[in-house]
Amino acid sequence: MITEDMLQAAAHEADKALQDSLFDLAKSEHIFSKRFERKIRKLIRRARHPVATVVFRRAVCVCQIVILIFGVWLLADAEARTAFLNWTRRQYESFYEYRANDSSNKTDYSLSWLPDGYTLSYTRELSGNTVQVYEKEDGLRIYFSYSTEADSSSLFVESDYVLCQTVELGDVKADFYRAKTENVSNVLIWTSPDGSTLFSISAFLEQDQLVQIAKNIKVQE
Amino acid sequence: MLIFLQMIETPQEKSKFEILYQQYRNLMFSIARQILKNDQDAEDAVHQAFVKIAENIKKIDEPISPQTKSYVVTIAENKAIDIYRKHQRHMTIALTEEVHGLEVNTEGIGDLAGCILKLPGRYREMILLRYHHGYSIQEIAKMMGISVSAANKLNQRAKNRLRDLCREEGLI
Repeated sequence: MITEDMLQAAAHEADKALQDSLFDLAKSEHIFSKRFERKIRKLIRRARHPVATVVFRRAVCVCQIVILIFGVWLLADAEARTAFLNWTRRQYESFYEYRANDSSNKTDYSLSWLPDGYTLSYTRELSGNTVQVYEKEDGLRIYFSYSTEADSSSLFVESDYVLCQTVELGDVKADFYRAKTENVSNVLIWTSPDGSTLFSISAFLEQDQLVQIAKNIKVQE
Repeated sequence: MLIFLQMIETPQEKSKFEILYQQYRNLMFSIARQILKNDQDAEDAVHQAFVKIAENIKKIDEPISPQTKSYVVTIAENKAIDIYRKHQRHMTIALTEEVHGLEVNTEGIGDLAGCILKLPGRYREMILLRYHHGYSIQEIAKMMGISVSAANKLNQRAKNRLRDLCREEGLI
């Protein structure tokens, strides 16, 4: 029987041994690549401008109608299963939920067409859900997300500020959420033809531009 | 991303983050390099680790301390294993949890501590974050970028594996 106290004491001892074993590693000096230094400079720059960060955060709070909450949602309702094979959409009083029904293989994607001025700013991965942020010099952003590892994941769209309509992306139907006010971004959500991957794009762009971006998503090698 | 942007807000936290970066980046790189055997992947792991550290900057009291060093080492190893797992897509989650992290010499240390160090990296990180650093399952889930239920399962599996190892070693 291993008690919690025993575990705690042993964990302290194990940690000390681990630290001691790092002595040689700590001495080595690596010359970091320019790419790495650039990313870290960005990280530190954001840290240096807390006020701007707060203002930006507030602006994002206003404009961001897609709340990307990939969390645990203990819910299952057969009636809610609609056109999607592995993802279902369910409408609640104030939001739409996209929920995965099954797990699938992870494939990475990127945008091969972007409106002028946008470049990839950073990518964030959370348990099989990937968010890529493309940014312009004036601060406008495109949020592109996809989720292929579908275990217990949900994506929510606040419905108070949008009108939903169906648009076509080749053979696939997509949900286009047009913002009701100009300080809210438009959103496009759809699944891959086999239903295994849920995509979303959120940006201050018109429907035709979002559709064009969506049509030009490519699989990363 | 948004979560990260919300994290570092005060000049003190900014300064703390820069100190951490200067102090530990090489160590973190060496750890990630040992697991990933590739410079670029190792740098990606270090970057992801710093993003996680930024998110949890409020939890760090003293940037240069054994406790903080242990914490950044654990996060760097965790992110390196994440990237390793990403490269091994054909493997199942259960198998990828078996990835071994840092090699540690277990000579001369207690039996139970030795068993902790023999655990696969992911399990060892869970035990150290939980029982050495004292983080809650919720906090660890956030650090590892997994759901609370996945962190709970990982915690259980880590303890089960530790128990099995102790049985094999004749400790229980």
